[in-house]
Amino acid sequence: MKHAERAAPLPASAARPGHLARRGHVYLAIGTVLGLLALWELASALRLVHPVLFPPPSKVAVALVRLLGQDYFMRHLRATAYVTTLGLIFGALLGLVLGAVLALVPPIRHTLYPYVIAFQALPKIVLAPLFVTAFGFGPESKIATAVAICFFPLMLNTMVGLSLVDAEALKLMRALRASEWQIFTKLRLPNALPHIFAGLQTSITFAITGALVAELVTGGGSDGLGRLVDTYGQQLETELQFAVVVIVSLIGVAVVLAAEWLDRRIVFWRR
Amino acid sequence: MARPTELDDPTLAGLAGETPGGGDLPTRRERRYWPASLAVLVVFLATWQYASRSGMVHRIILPAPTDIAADVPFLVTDRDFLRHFTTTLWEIVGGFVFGSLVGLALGTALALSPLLRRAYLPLVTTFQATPRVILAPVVIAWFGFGAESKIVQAIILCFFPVFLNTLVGLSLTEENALKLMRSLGATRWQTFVKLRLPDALPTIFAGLKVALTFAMIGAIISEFVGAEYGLGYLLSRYNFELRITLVYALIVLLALLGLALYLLLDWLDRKLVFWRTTP
Repeated sequence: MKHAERAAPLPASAARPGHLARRGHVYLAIGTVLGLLALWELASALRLVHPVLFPPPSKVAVALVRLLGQDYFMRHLRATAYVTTLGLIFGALLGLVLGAVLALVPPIRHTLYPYVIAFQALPKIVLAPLFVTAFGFGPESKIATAVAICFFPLMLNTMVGLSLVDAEALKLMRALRASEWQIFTKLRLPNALPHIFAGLQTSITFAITGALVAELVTGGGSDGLGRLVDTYGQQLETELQFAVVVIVSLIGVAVVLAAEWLDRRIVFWRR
Repeated sequence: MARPTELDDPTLAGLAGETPGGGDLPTRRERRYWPASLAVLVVFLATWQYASRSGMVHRIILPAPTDIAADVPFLVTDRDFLRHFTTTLWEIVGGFVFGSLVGLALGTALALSPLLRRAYLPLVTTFQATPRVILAPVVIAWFGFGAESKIVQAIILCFFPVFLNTLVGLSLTEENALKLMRSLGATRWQTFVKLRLPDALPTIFAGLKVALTFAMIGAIISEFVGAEYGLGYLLSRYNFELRITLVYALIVLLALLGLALYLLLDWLDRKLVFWRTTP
């Protein structure tokens, strides 16, 4: 019979796709990353690319391990963490308060609307040099930059979340003669929380970006991971430079994952 | 007749698009607030003028609006100004166009191939989660101080919104429409070009609008870190020369540039996606 002679390359049954079909994408993803790294390492070893401009992953890994043990590096890490955290806290407060005001006081919203749009059109990083002039090379100017960049998305999201509530629910509450405070706590606030957390996730990323941009602008004049990347670049110590870039990337990803976890735990009713 | 609630507020609906500059122009009902908006501006400028002139805030931190306006002619008549302006303009537009092409290509590829999507979407999303501004010094080391590095930085920052919106947009097509195409004997290409792509265009354009802002941010950040020409370079240089009036003038100029480019994109959006009934 034909079916006895048929080769069966994969141990698959008709009902369940083979292992490769189910997990193939994982191998493809990991394979691509490893392949690129291997290509890079090879290109550097063969001098196809300049080993200073393209430090091989092996050297970057060594530099990374060395960096993590040094006080010097930890000082800069703390500086960036400090700026980012304070920038996020103040930016979040500013965004929440302004967003709430704009949501709950329609005349103010309508009056300030053109300026909100204008402010949106401005790439807020251009304020970084201004803050450096105003506040100096220390952490204050960087915190100001982080605040300027990260408060805006949260303000918009808070405003939208607190105002655009379910029409029927709002009418019901008004029909039941609920006070504005009751409407706020029982309808607007729960409705707004998913938006606020979404805005918070964006704000966290922007706060890190703001801190790094401010550090890049001030260059060697201050502490921070951005400054390290800049300085190592100028000193052509590219292994250390890339190591810091990797560390910053990992921190960024970790922060985003933490924000998403927080979002899942606190805004549980959206699932 | 129920009194209008904030739910009917078009300003909110526009801003709820959550894209930068996603607002609609105000409708007739809100236009009666224009006197109030104007009054706010006047009061703001007057307070600023007073605070600066009276010495309450140092001239270096906050120059008076009249001083800024007085220095604007100096800014624009500088013989290199046009070169700085066009350099930045080309950097932004170039970064935006190429970044959008990358986003479109990647988004389409991942939309059409479930395998590629399952493999690479997590990787791309992870890349998006990293603060890519940290790459600015590296990009400049690789591509030099010229416009190329700025365009690359802009691409790195702006491709993702286009990619994501393309991916999402292409999956929005209704099952029934797809079945109809199949029953009419349409090829995969025809189905893509005549059905899936038009269905995706509104979403893609929303992504393009976000990408424009990011392209601008990328170009300017890169100019801050290392450049010879450009409005961002100019801003940084004037700042460290303490010519703060010119810095403020450049900030206003850059905001206007951002607004102008956005309005251009919005016009293109309304022309190409002409069937849209709601924004």
